[in-house]
Amino acid sequence: MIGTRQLILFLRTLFYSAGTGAFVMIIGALAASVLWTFRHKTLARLLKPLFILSCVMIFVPPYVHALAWADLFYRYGIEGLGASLWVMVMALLPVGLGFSLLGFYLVEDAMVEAGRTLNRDSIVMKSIILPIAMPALLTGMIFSFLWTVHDFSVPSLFFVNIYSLEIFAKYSATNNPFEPFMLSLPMIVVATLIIILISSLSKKLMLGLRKGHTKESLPLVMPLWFRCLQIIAIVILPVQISTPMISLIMKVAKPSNIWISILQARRELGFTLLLSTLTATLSVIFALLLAKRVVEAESRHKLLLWVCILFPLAIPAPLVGIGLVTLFSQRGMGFIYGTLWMPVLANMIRFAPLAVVTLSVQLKRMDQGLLDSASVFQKNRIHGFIRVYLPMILPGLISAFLIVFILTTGELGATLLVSPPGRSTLTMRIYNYMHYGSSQMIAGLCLTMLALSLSTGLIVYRVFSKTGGDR
Amino acid sequence: MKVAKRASVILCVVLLSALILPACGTKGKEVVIYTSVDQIFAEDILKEFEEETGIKVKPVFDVEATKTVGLANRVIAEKNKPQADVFWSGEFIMTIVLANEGVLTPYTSPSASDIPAIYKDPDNLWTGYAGRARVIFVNTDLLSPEEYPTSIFDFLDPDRDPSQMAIAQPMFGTTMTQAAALYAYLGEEEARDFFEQIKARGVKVVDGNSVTRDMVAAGQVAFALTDTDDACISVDKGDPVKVIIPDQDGMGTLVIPNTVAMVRGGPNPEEAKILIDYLLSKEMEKKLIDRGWSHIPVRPIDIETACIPMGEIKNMNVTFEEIFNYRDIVNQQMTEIFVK
Repeated sequence: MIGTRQLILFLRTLFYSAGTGAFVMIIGALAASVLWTFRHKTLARLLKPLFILSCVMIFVPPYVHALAWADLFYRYGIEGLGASLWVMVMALLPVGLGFSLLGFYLVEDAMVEAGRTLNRDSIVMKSIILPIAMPALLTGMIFSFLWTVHDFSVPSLFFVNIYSLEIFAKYSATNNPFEPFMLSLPMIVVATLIIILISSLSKKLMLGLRKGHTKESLPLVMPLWFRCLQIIAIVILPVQISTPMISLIMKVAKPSNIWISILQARRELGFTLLLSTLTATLSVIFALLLAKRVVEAESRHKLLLWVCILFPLAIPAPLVGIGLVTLFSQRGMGFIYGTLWMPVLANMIRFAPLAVVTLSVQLKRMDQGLLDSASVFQKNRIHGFIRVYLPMILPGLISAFLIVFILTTGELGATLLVSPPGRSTLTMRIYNYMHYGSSQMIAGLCLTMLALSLSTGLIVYRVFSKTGGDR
Repeated sequence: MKVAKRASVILCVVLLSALILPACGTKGKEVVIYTSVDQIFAEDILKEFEEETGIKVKPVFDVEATKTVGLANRVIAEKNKPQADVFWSGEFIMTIVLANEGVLTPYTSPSASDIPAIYKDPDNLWTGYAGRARVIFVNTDLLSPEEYPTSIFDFLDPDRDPSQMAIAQPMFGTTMTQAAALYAYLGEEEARDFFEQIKARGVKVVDGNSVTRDMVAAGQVAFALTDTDDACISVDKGDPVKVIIPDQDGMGTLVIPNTVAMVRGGPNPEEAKILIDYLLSKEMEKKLIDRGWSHIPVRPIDIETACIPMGEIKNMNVTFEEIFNYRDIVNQQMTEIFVK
């Protein structure tokens, strides 16, 4: 049983996390909704670089955002829940923007055009565009919620305590995973309930979802208040990017420090790339197999399937790590324990559910007519899979790969507990430097990760362009 | 279509590499060490050990962000199939936890023969050396020398502004150890009252000792509690700061030794002994002090440091066992007081 103090803490944490999730998605959705209110070419020229930069900021750990904002906030005596919420929103805005862009991209141009002939543009936005984009928006919101629920380091910087600190304190005191697991049960139950809600909503909202088209016949004409909110959201993006960037550039002091930090961390860099690539690849394969079954499952089983798939998202990272250690450190498990496969498994448990979500959305969007034609003309199943199915699902595969890749790169809580001796990730080194106060090295590594992700983003963009995904 | 083919080829290459790479490399002599000593200090020392002995070291480093739930819990969870040979901690509480969990094995290192018995486990399960002290860290731009605090009880001084003071969360790390030491020294009631007043006054309670250090260095607070290793980093950078060893006219300050222990059933016991001997040597203790990780030797060593005032440091008169015995109650009470 939890006491009054813990209950208050628990409720405050729910409020704080839900608030963060809501703000992340509201700002992300408002910014992304310009897809429908700007002319496409203007959008491409002006906003694409901003959106790409904002999204790759996911590579900057929330703690780095927090340190940058703390410099500013402390100067003006700003602290508490509001300050912490703002910093988490800034750190998670890439999630909000990314899922919002995905959601708005899924909306069919034809449906919007049909709606416009019958009603005002603002009604079309409210009744057609938003409901269709809603599964992605809600997924982004729950993802931000879960991330915030488990992260006590950022609130701590602004003198706010949340429930996960209580769980950590209990773990620290008992060294027994059972007690903190019991303490984390209320959080897991709430997260599971939200997941169930989202799953049932998604099922309804994804009906009729087929294929996104170009949006060149736009823009929609929206009321002034909505356009003002959009502008505010767009203005927030450069703030979100520039605050940690300026802080990082100032801290790195001279360019040679970037090179020094890369040299010192080259082994971690290599291991991180291998771990993230492997995790993302296997997660995508796993998701591909599972998403097809989920999409084709009978509706009475679908909800249960979704809850099972998404449940790992509700488990705190250290518990995933300790659980795996307990399970695989038994005799006879030496073939996997202490190898690269342990962190791969840990990260797959944590992030493969998101790959399943992404691929399910993509599968829903696939043109059934084309698949039916392929099944008639294909020489055999493999021929049809390679020539028709795989190219059609490729954008979804790449998105799922990237999501898992990025999250694995930044994972700490579980990876630390299962990484093989002698190996560590870039994130582990960054956190070590943080303790040492080596801001030059932290800044150098964060800027390196930013450059890497920016390059990856551009490569993926090129791939999408070639496969027609750009539209 | 071409992209799909390329993607398939890349996929095959990645999977094949992942299968082959971990198996590559010749297996020579090696030793696995789990350490909570900061990577930036431990890494070079372990590399030097490799060069001197030819034994490959596979380290796993802890990070402050996971508080104390990281590596020690991993050692406990690996009880049935130990991966680590040596556990090297920056403090002693978690090492005693491991000893009580039965995951350590006795080893009497010849390098530790000149270390006083009070720094050793009675059953030789661990050995302490190379201490760090709990200190008050002061911003010299914000306080004049006559305003410098001299005792941890200055955190309760009604004439001082509590919003200009900071401590790390006392449920974790060395701040928790210091809290347990205060419980052992002052008694439960008085110590609890001390922390309740800290909370009631509105002293800033932040994420870790490195954060309190950074806040003092940046002038966000006038003074804070931290460890000597954290404080000295800032002193070496030339920040406007000063290290005060508190309560030298009273109860003394807490000195926290590093501890080294051998893991029971580790895969490389002979190499583990060589590494433990290396880490516990007098030369290594001096090296740890010279490099800034430790500042208080446990045996006679000539040291020079500009970071903390030289001379004998008055240590709190409490044993490690007494401090450890208060761990659970302190953790529970600190959580009740501070996690609100």
